[in-house]
Amino acid sequence: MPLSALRAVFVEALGLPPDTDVDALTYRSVPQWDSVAHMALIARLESRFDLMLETDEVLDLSSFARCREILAAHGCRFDD
Amino acid sequence: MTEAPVALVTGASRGIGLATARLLATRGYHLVLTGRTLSPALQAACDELTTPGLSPPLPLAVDLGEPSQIAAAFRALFSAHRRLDVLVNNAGELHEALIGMSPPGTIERMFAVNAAGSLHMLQGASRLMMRRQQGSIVNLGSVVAVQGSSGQIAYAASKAAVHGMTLAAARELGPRGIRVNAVAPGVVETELIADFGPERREALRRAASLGRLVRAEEVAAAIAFLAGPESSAITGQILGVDAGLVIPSP
Repeated sequence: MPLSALRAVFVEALGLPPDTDVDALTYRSVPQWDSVAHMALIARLESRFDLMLETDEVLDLSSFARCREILAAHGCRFDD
Repeated sequence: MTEAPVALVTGASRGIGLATARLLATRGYHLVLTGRTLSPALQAACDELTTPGLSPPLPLAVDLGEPSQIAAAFRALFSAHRRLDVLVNNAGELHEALIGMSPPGTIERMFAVNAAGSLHMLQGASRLMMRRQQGSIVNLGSVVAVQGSSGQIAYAASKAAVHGMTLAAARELGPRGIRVNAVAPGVVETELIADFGPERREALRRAASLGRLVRAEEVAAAIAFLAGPESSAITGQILGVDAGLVIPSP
């Protein structure tokens, strides 16, 4: 799956400008990624990639890069 | 994803849980029913509530005092249906003891099941409901949470926690399209009060404005109302179903 699909989820769920450097995002690094938006992001990720994250993973998902790693553990591989 | 709405009822092998499952089955819900174990009673409930056109109820063994079992239950539910529309957070335990005679293990168990277990269920359910931005959670509170009861300090405290989590969750999840309410049953004729003697039952009847105890089916009707679309504008409410045991002051 292209990495752009994962980037798109972040942009849509967090309401970010399309030109955002999504790959560099970390939790609370932009005003849009607060705790409320985090749960919306989780819901969007789970729905888009048809998986269910553990609570520990929800708490650990602190950056775009970490998200990629966590989703990989669920079998979602993204190509650059 | 399953087409018809999906309802998860905990403690569904008897009493209020079973009565609620029966009612929801008539309203077209796919059912996921939990019990502490995969008991013959839970299996019988699933057999009874198998409805043509719907998948058979999914029985799951979940001890609410074990968070890992709750997580496993939600994984199983997700695998089967990919959605959740209603959670009836019914399972609970009642062990009576006077304050000075309440063993630590009993106190901790009631908080683990009634309070923390209900919260973990609410947490898991809300995660699934957020995907579709809709859902209804009905918690089981109690009249003893607001008026107390001698010999039930741990139970009353754990149910007060349920009332508190209902209000907090309603505020937090409302913007996500998820409603959270509770029913507060009075004295219901279930196995939970099997130990109550005739004199105590009579005293409880006299204390209720309607002069009687409550039937599980009456609580189930209130739960089904709060779970369904008829209550679409109601959230953050704790509905007494107690035959007038508690009549709040205006």
